[in-house]
This record gives sequence, structure tokens and C-alpha cells, in this order.
Amino acid sequence: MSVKVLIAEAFQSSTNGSDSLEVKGSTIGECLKEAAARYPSLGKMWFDQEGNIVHYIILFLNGNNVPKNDLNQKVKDNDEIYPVLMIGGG
Amino acid sequence: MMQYKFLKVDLTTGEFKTENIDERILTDFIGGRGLGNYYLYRDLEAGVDPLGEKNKLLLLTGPLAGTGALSSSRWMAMTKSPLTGGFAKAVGGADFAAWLAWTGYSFIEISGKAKKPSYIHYQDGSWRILDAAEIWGKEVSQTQEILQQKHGKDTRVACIGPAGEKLVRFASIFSDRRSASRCGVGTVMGSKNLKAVAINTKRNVQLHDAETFRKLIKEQSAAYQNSPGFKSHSEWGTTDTQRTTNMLGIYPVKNFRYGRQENYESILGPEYRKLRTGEFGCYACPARCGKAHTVTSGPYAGYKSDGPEYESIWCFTGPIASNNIEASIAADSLCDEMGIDTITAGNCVGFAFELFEKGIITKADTGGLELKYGDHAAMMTLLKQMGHREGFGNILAEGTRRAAEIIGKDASKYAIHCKGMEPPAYEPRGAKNMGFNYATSNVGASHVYGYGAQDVWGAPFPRKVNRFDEGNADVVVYNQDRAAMNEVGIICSFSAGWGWVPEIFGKLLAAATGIPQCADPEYLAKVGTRILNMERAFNVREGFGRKDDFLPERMLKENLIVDGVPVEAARVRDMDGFLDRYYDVRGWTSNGAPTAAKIKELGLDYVIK
Repeated sequence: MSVKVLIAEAFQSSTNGSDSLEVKGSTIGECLKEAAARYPSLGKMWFDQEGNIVHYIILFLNGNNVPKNDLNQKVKDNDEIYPVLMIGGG
Repeated sequence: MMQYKFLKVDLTTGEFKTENIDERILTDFIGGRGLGNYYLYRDLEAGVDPLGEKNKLLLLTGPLAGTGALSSSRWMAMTKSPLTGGFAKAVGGADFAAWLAWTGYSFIEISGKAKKPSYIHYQDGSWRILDAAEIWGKEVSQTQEILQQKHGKDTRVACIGPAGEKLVRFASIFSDRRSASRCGVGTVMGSKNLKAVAINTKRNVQLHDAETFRKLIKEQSAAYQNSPGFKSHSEWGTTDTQRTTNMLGIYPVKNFRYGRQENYESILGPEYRKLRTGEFGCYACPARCGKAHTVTSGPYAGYKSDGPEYESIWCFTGPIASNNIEASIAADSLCDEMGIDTITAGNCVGFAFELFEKGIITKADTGGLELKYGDHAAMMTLLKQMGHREGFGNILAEGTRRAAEIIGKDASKYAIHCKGMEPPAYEPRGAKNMGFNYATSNVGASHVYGYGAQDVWGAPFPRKVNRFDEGNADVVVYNQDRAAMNEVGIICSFSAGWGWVPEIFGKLLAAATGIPQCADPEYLAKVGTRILNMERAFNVREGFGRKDDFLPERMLKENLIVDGVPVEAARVRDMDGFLDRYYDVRGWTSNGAPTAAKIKELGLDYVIK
């Protein structure tokens, strides 16, 4: 099964400029951890020491918010996961 | 359909009048920013002096205010701006919108000028104009405390500080710990000798379909619980946004010359969290995103602030290249108590520092004050001077455009503004959709007018864009119209990303007002477009045109520099080309005015003659 992880611009310096990665996994967490294993500096930006998503990342799956940033959410073939930096400024 | 009305207050004569709102107006404009636009356009003559008696100030709520709908009790000040000479609107939070809505009035339209400092008071069904001698000259917190002691702790106040009284051009209106900050809305209030509006009332909610409304609030709450954006915003507010903007190289430094602060890691959210001493929020919003901070040591020990939020964090770090967190907290507190907009204030400081660097002003101009990058003490002195119109600060109190005209020489080249209002903390060259929003916004450079989420975090709606690309006029239009649609509510713009807009939002409006079309997202979107065209028509009537839809020369002629490297893609290359595309998407003339066909298409031909 192949899932795409979209790489927001702020993280592309960690992927040699790639804006997406093809990964394998049955959950969001598995997919992101495979991306992080391939590019360790990406992992440092996405996960804390306990392996949880850091506070300033919000996860989207196929354009929709992932409820509670749940890494156990299942994915299927051709899904797109999109971790983005926290927004909002005022 | 529910019946709505508004209150007209004439400060010159002391008269209060009620006017009912016609069903057609309600259906076309719904509430909040929509209704305000209709009535401001109708009731304000073109060409009035923004600081003269004939200007009008509207304090608006939306139909969801005070109803218990989450994050939907924001209020808005709307007027003609003393900074830009054009349309002005600014949004505030806390409880005031709920209290105003509970008086039974959708908004207050204030005209004329009181003979002496006054305030408007409401209690037990009566509106009065009272003597403000006791509170005139008082800072924002003290003003509210005095009025609550006098009229009861259930009184909610919207007021100005000493800066508004002294007609600092970017004075704000404050309520509790929040403010309607921009465009000089507080200056207009001060020009009317109006210190405050104080309301003491009980909860009074009238809904078209209360049962449906209650069910929808439960749906809204469930959406929030699932939203990681809500969770993140509740924990941090906007105190960590500088992480994103610095990573992208769009954190404006030294008067919009550089895009990244040196050692920016020392001013990120977790550093501010070490000084956090409280949290607060707006009426019926569970996010409680306001983060209070207290300085406990060093030269600013004792300063407490109800911020700073992201913009204010930037205002007091980026323009002077200082990483002193304590100074930023102190500066935020100072500006809040004097009652000034931190964004314009921070820009004025950055402008002054660059002029000093270039020798355009010297110690002879600044009364001996040296303005060296990193010197936050000098920044604090300038801010105090601005807020009280003293020393060199009296010139800066005019905003950068007028200050540059007064200073002369080459100063105008370094005044960074759009239409006379200074930009917020997103460098437009590195976030072009945000930047072109600044240029085309009808209030001047405002991020909230059409937030470029696609640039800042890569929002994939309506589509993903390259933030350096200049061809996305449709995206700028989308952002601006959506922001306007949300301010019909008047809902919190942060909450719009938490899974309830537009579907639940529209249904709540329908259940509240009895206007069934609200439940149709396309109808609501059209109301947003209608609002944008009203605001443009207001400005056209005031003489604005294509010549005013500009970005500062720096953005067109200079490269943005990030970590010492010029970012070639960042310079704005074709402002004219963008404007052509933008006007085309909008259906406006080549001079940036709504065409007769567009006015008719939007059903505005009975409004805009």
C-alpha cells in the first residue's frame, strides 16, 4: 500500500527540497515514522522524545483535519497525509 | 424572521433614537460587518473629516452574540479612518458583544461630538450620556475599574485610553483585556469626546428557533473536541507563530528589510510560556487563548500584560532586532494601557530606528535619544512618547505616512504602509498572497482582511499555491471574501478552522435570525463578496482608486534578505499585472471600482447609486 506524505515548505530543507514522499504504512503514525526514518531531521521537527506529534504540528488527511491529531488513524492506498505548522497570528 | 433594531446616538444633541432594520437589509447583509457596511455607507457623507463631528462610529455585534454559540461573540468598530481616510473596521473580543446584544440592539451608531468628555451608559432599559471627568485621562484598566465600581461589577465597558483622548492616530478601543485595535477607531472615539460605553444588563437572548440552535451548539462543540487546531490554539494562543514565520523567512526585521530574526529560537512560544501567569478568553469560547505574562526580574520587573500575542511579540522584537522577551511584555502592557495599536506602534518604532541609522533624523530630532538596534529601552521611551504625544513621539503619533511628510528629506521612502496603515508581521515579499491582500485591502495593510493561509502554512484550499508566485488573484479574493463572511457572525477568525465553518455556522445564523438562506454556504459566500464590494464602493466614493492599491516601494525595488542572502524570488515583480488580474476576478474597472454590472449582480443597485 502506498501513501503520500506532503511536505510543507518549511520542512523541505530536510527532504532535499522534495515536496512529497511515497511511504508505506497502515496508520498515519506508521507513515510519518517511515518518512522520519528516511529523513531524521524531519523526525526531529515532527516528534517529541516520547514519539508524540509536537504541539506546533496539525495533521491533515486528504485535506481534512485529523481528529485529535490521532496517529493511530488508519490510512488506505493513495491517501495523502499533510503535517503543517500551527497557524494563526494576531 | 426575527426583528432587529439599532440605536442612534447623537452626542451633540444628546438624543437617542431607535431605528428598525428592514427585512431586505437583514436578508442581504445578515449582521455584523454586513449590516455595518450598509448603514455606514447610507448614513455617512463622503468627504467628512475623520476627526470631525460629522464622522460616525458604529459599534456592532452579530446575530450570534451572547447566544451561547461558541466563539461568536466578537464586536466590531466601524468608521472612517483617521489613518487612511478610508473605510475602517476593527474587531474586539471579551464580553462586550454579548452585553451589547442583550440590550436588544444590534449596534450603536454614534455621531456628533459631546461638549465635554462623556461616556454612554446603559442600565435597566435606559440609555444616558454621562460626565466622564472622573475617567478622562485614566489608563484603560483604571477606566474600566472605576466604571465597574460606579455602575456594578456586571458592567462591561468599551473605552479608550489617554492616547485616544490625545488623538494619537492609531488609538484603539479596549474592552476588558481585548481590543479593537487598528485603523484609529479609538482616535475617532476620542475626537467625539467619548471616553467609554458602559453597559450593565442581564442575559437576554432572542432566537428564531431555540431548539435547533441548541442542537447546533452541541455539534459545534463536538467539532471543537476533534479539532487539533482548537487544542493547539487553546494551549498556545498565537504565542508560537513566530516559529513558522521565522522558519519561512517572513518575519519582518528592521523595518521590513530582513525576513528572519537572529537567534529567533530565544523568542519562541516555550520561552514566553516560562513567564505565563494566566489565561483568559472571550464570551462563550472554550479556547481561552489569551495568555497573560508577568515580568519578575530585570529592568521591567512588575510589568504584567494580557499578551503579547504574535503580532505584539513581533512588534517589539522584529522592528528593532531585539530578542528581549521581558521588554516585549512590558511594551505590550504599556501600549494597552495607553490605548494604542501595537502593530502601527511597532512599525513607527522600526521606521524611526531606520531613519536614525541612515542619519535622516539625529539626536537633535529625538531630544537626545539614540536609536540603536537592539536597544529596547529606547523603544520603550519612544512608545511612551507616542502614546502621550510628547517629544519626537508626537510626530510618530501621526503614523508613518504623515510622520514621513513632517520629517521630510527622504523619510517617505522608509515609511512602510498601504493606504497609510502599517503592515503586520508577515513579510509580503515572502508571502505574496498575504502581501497582495495588504495592497488591495480597503482598510490598509491588514492580515486579518484576507489572511494568506496558503502562504503561511500551505493551506490546500481553495488550492495550494507557491508563496512567491504572483498569479493567484483568485486566492486573494477567496481569502478576503471568506473573512468578510465570517464577520457577519461576528465569529472569531481563528475558530473558522475548527470544523464548523461554513456549514454549522450558516445553520446557526439561520436558526438565530430566521433567514433560511444563511444555511446555504453559497449564499453566505455571496454575502462576503457583497461586503467587499460595499467597502470598495465606500473608498471609491472617498476618491480611492488603483493608485492606492500599492505595496511600499521597498517591496518592489529591494530583495528580501534572509540570513544574509537576498531572496530573488521574493521581490514583487509585477504589481500592475496582479492588480489587472485581481480587478478582473472581482469584476471591477481597471481603476479598481465595482462596475455597474457587478453592483447589479450582487443586488447592490439599491444601495450604491
